[in-house]
Amino acid sequence: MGTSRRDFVRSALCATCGALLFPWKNLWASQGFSSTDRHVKEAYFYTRLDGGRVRCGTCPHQCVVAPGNRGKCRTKVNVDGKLLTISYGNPCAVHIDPVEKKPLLHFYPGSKVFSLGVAGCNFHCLNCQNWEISQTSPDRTRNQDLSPENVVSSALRHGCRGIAYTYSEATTFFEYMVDISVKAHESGLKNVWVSNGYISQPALNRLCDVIDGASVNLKSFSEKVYWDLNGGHLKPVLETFKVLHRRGIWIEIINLVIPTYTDDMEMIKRMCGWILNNLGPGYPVHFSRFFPQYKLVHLPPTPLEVLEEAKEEAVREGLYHVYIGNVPGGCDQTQCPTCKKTVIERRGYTLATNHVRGGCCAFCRTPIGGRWAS
Amino acid sequence: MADLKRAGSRVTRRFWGCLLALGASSVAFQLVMIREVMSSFGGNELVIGVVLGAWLFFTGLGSALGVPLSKRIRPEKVLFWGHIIIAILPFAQIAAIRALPFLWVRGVMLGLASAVFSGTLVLLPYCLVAGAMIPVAGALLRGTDTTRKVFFADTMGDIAGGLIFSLVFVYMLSHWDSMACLGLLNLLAAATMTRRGGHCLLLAVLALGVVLARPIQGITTSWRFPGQEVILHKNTPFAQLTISKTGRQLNVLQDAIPLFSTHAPEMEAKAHLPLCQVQKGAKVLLVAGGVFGTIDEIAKHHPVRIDYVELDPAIVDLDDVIGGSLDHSFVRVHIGDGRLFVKKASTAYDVMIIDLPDPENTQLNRFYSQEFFREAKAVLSAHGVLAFTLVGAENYLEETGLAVNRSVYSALSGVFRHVCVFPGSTHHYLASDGPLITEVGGVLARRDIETIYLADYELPTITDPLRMEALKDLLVESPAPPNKDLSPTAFGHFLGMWMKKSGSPRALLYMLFALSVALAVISCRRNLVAFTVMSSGYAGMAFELSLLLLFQVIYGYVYLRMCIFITLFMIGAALGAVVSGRIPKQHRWQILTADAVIAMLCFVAAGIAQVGVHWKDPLALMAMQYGLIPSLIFLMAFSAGCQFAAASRMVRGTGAEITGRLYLADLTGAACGTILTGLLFVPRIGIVGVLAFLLFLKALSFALYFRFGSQGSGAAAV
Repeated sequence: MGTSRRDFVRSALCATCGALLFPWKNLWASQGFSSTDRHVKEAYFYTRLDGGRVRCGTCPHQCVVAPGNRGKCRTKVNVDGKLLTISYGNPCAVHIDPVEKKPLLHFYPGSKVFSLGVAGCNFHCLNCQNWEISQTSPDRTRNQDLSPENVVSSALRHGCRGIAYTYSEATTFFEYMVDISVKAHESGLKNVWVSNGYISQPALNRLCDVIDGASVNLKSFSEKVYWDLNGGHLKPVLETFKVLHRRGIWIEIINLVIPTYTDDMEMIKRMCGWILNNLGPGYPVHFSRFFPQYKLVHLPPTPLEVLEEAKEEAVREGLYHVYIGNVPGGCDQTQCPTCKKTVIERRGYTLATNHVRGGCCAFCRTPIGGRWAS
Repeated sequence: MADLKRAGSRVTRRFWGCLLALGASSVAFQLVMIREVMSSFGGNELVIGVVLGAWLFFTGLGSALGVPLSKRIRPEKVLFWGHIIIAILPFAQIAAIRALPFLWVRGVMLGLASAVFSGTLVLLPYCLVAGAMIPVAGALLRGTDTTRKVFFADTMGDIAGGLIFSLVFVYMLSHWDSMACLGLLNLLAAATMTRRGGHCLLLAVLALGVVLARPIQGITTSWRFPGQEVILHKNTPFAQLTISKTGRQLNVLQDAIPLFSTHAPEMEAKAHLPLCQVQKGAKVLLVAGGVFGTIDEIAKHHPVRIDYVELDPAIVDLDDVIGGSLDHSFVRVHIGDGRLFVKKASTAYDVMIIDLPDPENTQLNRFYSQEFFREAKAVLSAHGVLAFTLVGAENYLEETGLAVNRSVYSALSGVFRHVCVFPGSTHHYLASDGPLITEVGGVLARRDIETIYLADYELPTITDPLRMEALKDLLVESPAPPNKDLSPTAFGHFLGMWMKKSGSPRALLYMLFALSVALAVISCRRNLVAFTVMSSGYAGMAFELSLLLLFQVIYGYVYLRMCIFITLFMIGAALGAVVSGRIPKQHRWQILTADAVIAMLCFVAAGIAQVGVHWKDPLALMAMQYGLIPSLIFLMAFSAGCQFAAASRMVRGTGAEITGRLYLADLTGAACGTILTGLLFVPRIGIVGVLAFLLFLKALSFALYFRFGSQGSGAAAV
């Protein structure tokens, strides 16, 4: 026979090593962006380092990006020592949604928001329901061409109350979001930030100047789970909540209850305690039902009684408005924390009745936390 | 003289005992491992193709490694320890494959890279040992015809193992217990290799251990279902079904992937969107999914009849535990293939709901092809509605998912006058020759039908005119080739989507393709006979896969028939080897004839595939089912078996050497055929393309051997 065993093994090893050592990553890295492109803009927060490298300052990852490379979010590119965002004016998802879908239940209920998202995310959640947008970059998606001015005029044309930066992680298209928000405020529109809350303090402070409401995911109250499932850290997210609260931005807190990860009642109790102590009892907390999505497909959906138990725990801790998300009927009613009467009734995403008058319960005049139409 | 005779019969007994036990257990274990891998890696065809390819390749490699072993150590000693390893190792490997997910984040879908590296690592020891035992068993015999006898005995073992597992074990035993039975068989085979008391005692202890280790299976099974109480776990010919409990919630899992959970309202849209298109009192055909609540939702429209077709009877049995959907008087349950049912149906249905998973394999692709849509239309009433779901995304559909939708939409719109797609996290497709409405909420209200989720949450999104229009524009924006039975493009795109979703680099897949081709080439480098055997190994596997797919397309997935065809293939190979042995000379002529016959069979099969799928005449269909397809499978295997045996007489060396070398070439070719055919060629060039390529390959093999091969020149250079 022509082939010795040694030949055979040697050839197989060579082929494998060659394939493993080949610089695939560099091959895939997209190049050729320039600050003159319409969908490219210099990032607002970054620091120049030696050797042409830069440190991105938009989120707590603080990526150090070498020339020609990108940050973790895939939207910030170092071009000749300048950090450019490639997510500007090129949203891949644009829809008009009820504000309740964000979910924001105490923020101009019954109104429509012009919702948009640009590809990219600074987390890599294994259960992401928008992985098609979040786990890619804007140069790999089918995008629309929408300048900030066009976004605002479209929102007004469709009778929207505000603009929601959503679907992917809005922080990754920070510059676009801020520029739209400024113009939206000028036109009397509200701005809603739907986020994982993973943003740097300087960027957040800038953002708080222009947003009105935030639906922020508190994905768990465990550093380990944050790292394993999401690729981020808990502490910066908690800091975000504190800043939003301090700056008077309306917050709704979303907590996805994932079986065997975030369904521990002790952890939920600690989380609610932290919310109460640091943010107060008035912000709504949504315990959302998990469904197998994206890569986390071997776990069953969250049992309803676990969500009910989490809600009871939160109410016991002293939170006023606790909802169950992703479950029909889980958000149907908002009760006054004092007289316990139903002040808002919903059917799905539709507002059925609203007994909030001037931000207070129409029955007992207790203030109801939120942003309400006058 | 009598002593010599006794020794001769003892050797024969050992030879046959070894190869029958080895063949039976390795085929059964291969089937077990494929099913285990399906559960650990999410039942993806890509992973299964790679694992099966790796299995064949490692066994071939083991055969090559067995040759020096047979020269250095007494065969009986090698086989004794080999059988012990083959008896015990499967338990460790089953436990290891079940424990694999612990290495990653709990509950996460594993990508191609983790599947390839960890899966093949788990398979490696068994395959190497099993492969090495084949030439060593050949070393028990003396004479020139050893390889042919080894091939015959091994194939007979394969047939026995395949039949026992597929027809008996899969219905009656768990994977663990199946391996325990075959483990005991191997310990018995090991006992025939020794006369030492100590060895026999060891075997007895091991046999006891195999029996007593049974409780471990429950523990290893529970590793797959963290945080869940497993209340039922059973094997069916099609999958592993599990019912688990989390609190009061019941979960049904198929191959460890949640299929259904109580309080999950996704079946509402599947039922109400099509039922709202027709009058109350409709006749409904439901393919799969009925026991998970779809029937209860359909019942709200007061149908006069629901024919519910389910492939796996075990799923129908779940109704007793999870629902009671089948208690309605108008429900008739049919066990069998949905497509076959549609083909034979005589009732004119008002609504047909296909409640199956996406076209994630060729089997499922048949329900999304243009040919199927034509068959469906033929059994629908004039304004009857066909409904199914397909991969979607509420906010943005990425390219591969869009390609799946485009190819199916293209197939559907070529058959029905009206097609309506409701966009959501799953896209709902409706097709009819009559007009379709989107005002589903109004119909539900008029019929006084309450829904938990659909009316208040889902409809506002999926019937949003802007979203519907945007999706329709996307689907028609770029013309796509329609998804067809013999060119399953939707399945190909779906594999691409899985790669993307699981974060598997495409380069790894191409590397695997390149590696399998390289290994196949290396296994027969500078040896014409080995090239012929390798190309026949490739052709045999690719031909069998193509015809099984063709059969499924025309006649549906008939489990027993599939088992019979695979068995027929192995019988053909064994008989080919026997017949070749009866023709003592004419080896060159046999090799050339086999090549020519294989090429001719590929040509005939391609012709049948082209025209056969359109045949409607019952006589022609029967002739193809019982005559043509089985004959083609048998003749292909017969030719390959005959050629293998003839080739074994053309190569110089000891029996073990020839066996090792030819098994390496044959199995490497088969591995290459498995990986390339199922994962690359069928989705890209279709079945006819695959058969045309085989024709080319065997014509090349014929031409090379005709030009350069001569009688007795086993090592002739290409």
